[in-house]
Amino acid sequence: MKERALAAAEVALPPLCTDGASAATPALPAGADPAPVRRSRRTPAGWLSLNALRLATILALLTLWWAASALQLVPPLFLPPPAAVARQAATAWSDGFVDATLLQHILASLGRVFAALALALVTAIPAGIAIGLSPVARGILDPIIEFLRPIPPLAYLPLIVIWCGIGELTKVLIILIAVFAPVAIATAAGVAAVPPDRVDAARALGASRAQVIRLVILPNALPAILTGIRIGLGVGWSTLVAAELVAATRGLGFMIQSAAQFLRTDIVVMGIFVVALVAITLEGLVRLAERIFVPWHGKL
Amino acid sequence: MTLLAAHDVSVTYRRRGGQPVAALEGVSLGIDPGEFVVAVGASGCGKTTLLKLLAGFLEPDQGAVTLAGKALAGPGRERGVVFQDDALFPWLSVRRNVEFGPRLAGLSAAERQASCGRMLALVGLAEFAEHKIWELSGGMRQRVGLARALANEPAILLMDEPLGALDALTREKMQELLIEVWARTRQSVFLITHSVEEAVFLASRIVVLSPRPGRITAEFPCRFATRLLAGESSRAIKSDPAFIALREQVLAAVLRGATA
Repeated sequence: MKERALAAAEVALPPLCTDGASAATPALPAGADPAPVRRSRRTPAGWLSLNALRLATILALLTLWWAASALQLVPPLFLPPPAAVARQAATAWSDGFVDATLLQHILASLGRVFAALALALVTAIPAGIAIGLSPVARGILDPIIEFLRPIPPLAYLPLIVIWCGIGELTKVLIILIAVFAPVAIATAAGVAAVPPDRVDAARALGASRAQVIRLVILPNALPAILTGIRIGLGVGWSTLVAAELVAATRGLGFMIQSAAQFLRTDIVVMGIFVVALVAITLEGLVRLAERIFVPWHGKL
Repeated sequence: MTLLAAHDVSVTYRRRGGQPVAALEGVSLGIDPGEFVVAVGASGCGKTTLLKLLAGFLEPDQGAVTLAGKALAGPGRERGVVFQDDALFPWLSVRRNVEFGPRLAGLSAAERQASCGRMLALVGLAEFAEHKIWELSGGMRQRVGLARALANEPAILLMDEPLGALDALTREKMQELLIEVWARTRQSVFLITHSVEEAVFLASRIVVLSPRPGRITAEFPCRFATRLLAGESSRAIKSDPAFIALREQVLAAVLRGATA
């Protein structure tokens, strides 16, 4: 039931980066009754007008931005013209900014987020499974997660620096703390939401408890785990700037910080756009992974 | 010799802050090899609880459940279970669902493939082996669930309202299929339903359960399934005066229990 409610919520609020493929209905074999189409609201015409509206909004904002700076309504120091931002993107890409090219900044940031995500996968997923399976584990881990979850990263940043210094470890840890809770909570929810009949069915077919966990509970929780990873990546990426406040020499957060110190607003705005584009790309990649690894999700 | 039996079993559900509910009280039931026993009763009469006891998903508060004379220890592969909402594994193909039990039992790929092919042919889904679960209709999914339970070659099939969620037409076809499968595999079957007509049509023996506390209040021997196997149509059987008379008798027993 929970899964269905989640799916329904996603239909009601389509994400910004949804593309056409998810709206396509899967091909049905001859002779099979079609499964009920849940996303009936997304008719081709409706989808078209929705995307047209999105495009129109983006174009309108860009025009407004261009007009405001072209008519000099706002000084370029506060609002650089779009052309200047685009030029900075090209320059940063080819010549770099503060000792690294744009690609190197992006890769440095991605490296930190993915290192944190990898650590989260090997810690938060087992923790979530334990919470979902055992009341004892739940009792032990719940307070820790509930304590960490609502703290803004900037609040624990100084403590992590005192504990772990100003190296890469600190940056990765800050992101890990932010990513841990959403992944663990989503995993626990997915594990706890396994339909009892599926577990009983496996037991009746001869599965041991370990086999039930491996062959039924884990695959059943996979959609929830991927949702947790998607949310975790989003949270981790938005923690990036905080993490790169600490003695970084590379990374998008560092690039924006340095540009701000030189009052290079055009580079600041360019950096913001790059951060947003990477976030949208990451979200799209996880959604692609969902379509590949859990094609059944929301269909049963 | 009795294959699967419940001896004087009682189950009480205790809810926090609520009155304890006696789901089953002093129920005894034996199922012989080759029997098709159908339990019928109003909702809340403990039918599903009884099936869970026989499957080993639940232990009785009092009494015992035995399989071929030995006390049960949890679920086991000699008892195949079919659920109302199919309980298939959507991350596996139809074939992998059916092969789930044989795979756990360590059968070789060739053996698994042979048994999967046989079982899917038995339920009329031979050409759907490589399909995804979500591509199938409700009736087809229920047949996959049946094939999956049969693939372990259990001594008895336990079915919890397997046709409850199906439309009338599919339901009728599935009833005929169940009788055919029963006749071909010579397996014992224990099936629960709230449809009296279904019970009379399928069963070789009907047990009527009454609610609060769940008890067996009546038993009826039955033999309409053999007439289907002899070639008579199910419409003809169901409109036969003898069928209607028994149906009314069973219904009266169900209603008596429900109002008592």
